Amino acid sequence: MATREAGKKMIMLKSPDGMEFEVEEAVAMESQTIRKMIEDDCADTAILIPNINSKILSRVIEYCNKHVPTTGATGAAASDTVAPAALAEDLKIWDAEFIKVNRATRFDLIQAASYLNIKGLLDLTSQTTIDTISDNSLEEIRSFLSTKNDYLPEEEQTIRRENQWAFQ
Amino acid sequence: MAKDKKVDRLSALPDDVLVNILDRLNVREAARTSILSRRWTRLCAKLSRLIISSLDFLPKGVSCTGISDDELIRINAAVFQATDSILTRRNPGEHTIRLLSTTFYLRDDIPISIGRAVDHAMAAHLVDNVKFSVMTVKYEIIDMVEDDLVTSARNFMFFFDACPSAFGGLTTLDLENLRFGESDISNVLVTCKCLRHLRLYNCDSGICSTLQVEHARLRELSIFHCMVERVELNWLPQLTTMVFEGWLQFQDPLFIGHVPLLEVVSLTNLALRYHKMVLLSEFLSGTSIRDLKLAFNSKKIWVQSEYPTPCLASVFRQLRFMNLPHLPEGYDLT
Repeated sequence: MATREAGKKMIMLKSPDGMEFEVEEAVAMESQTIRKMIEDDCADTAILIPNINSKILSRVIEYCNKHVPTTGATGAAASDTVAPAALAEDLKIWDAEFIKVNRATRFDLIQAASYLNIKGLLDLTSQTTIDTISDNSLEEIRSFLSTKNDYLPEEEQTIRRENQWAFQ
Repeated sequence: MAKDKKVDRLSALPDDVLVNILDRLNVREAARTSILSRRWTRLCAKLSRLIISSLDFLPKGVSCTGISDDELIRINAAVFQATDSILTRRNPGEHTIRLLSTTFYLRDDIPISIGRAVDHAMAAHLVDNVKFSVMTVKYEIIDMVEDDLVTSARNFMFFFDACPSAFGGLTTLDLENLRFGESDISNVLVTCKCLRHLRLYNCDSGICSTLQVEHARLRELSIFHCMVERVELNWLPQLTTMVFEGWLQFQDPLFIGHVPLLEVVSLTNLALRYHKMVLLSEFLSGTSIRDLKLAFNSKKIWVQSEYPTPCLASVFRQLRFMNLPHLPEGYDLT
């Protein structure tokens, strides 16, 4: 198994660009994907995280580090120490600061959160996209997502008819 | 051009990531994206959380209580169109539906149409959870007269009888403002054999009737402002959570029979002078509650400390969380 340090089990995460990150097992297990690897005993040495470069991976680890004590461990033990409401408020402020990144980084974070299956991070990173889709006109959404309309005119008519209820 | 290139990153994300994002929207918002391109149409056919609610079709700034009759008919029809449209575009068996939740008004034949669409979906697709929230046209208890309640219940039973297999697969049922006939509630419970969550708001089988609940799979039961004299939880082997709020109460309002897994209980009432004292040890004997919430909505505290008896000790030996909101100042319950 992975190395031990002061009673805490450590896990080595490797990005495809060759950087290595040593993190506590509990932090790494914020990712359901890594948790599964550890539980299936596939985490003997270092875990290679494909498709996520070191810059993004380090931000993901930063997020997990911050979020580990409240969501991880046994619920009762965590809630006894600090008032949960204050803790949640603190995390919210931290999250808001954390997500102040450019759009490209945010999309990378969405992809990383999705691959690593970290629900909180995925919620946080997708929120802007969700807001854009729910609050804007179709043309605005199209330009935000930069999606090309590849329908033939008559196809678009059919699709519009089928989804008319959504535009009422 | 350079700008466009940068923006294009979102569409470069794999399908499952985008579906995950779309799943956070309500179905109406998600369906709008199908106009964007063929790819987004495909994505909409893979959604795993289908939550279709009449509330999403309300005109902006209008509350669900303030709508005209014409609006209501339009909204209800839209809920059916949405349900039908979002389900028929899916490829059978390809992607599991984690939740199929519909909220609609009990009006005309729309509930039956929705029930049949849901029934077809359960036959053609893998569906984990199915929820019906059935709303009555009038909502506030104070606006309801006996006839409204009875008519609504009759309409509900008509819907229920027309869609037995949809109800047979239902996992969550949310009902309001219904005055049932004598055996209706137990018939509903028998047919809804997969039910795990049941919420009853102002539902009964006549003022001061007894509500008897027996169900093999029910896990969560919420009873709000039902005009019943007594709720008898006779046999609920899977029930873990119980919320009981607002009872008429002349005698003990709640009987807990065979409910071995019950661990979270919330009791709330506006205590009136004629209300009898509630004896927690009697209420909860034979259970091991982990989380108990007692809410006092008036200045009369309806719980007094009981003498510590072995019975009370056994009731509370598992208690971990105790929540007493709205406790007037100056009361000491230690």
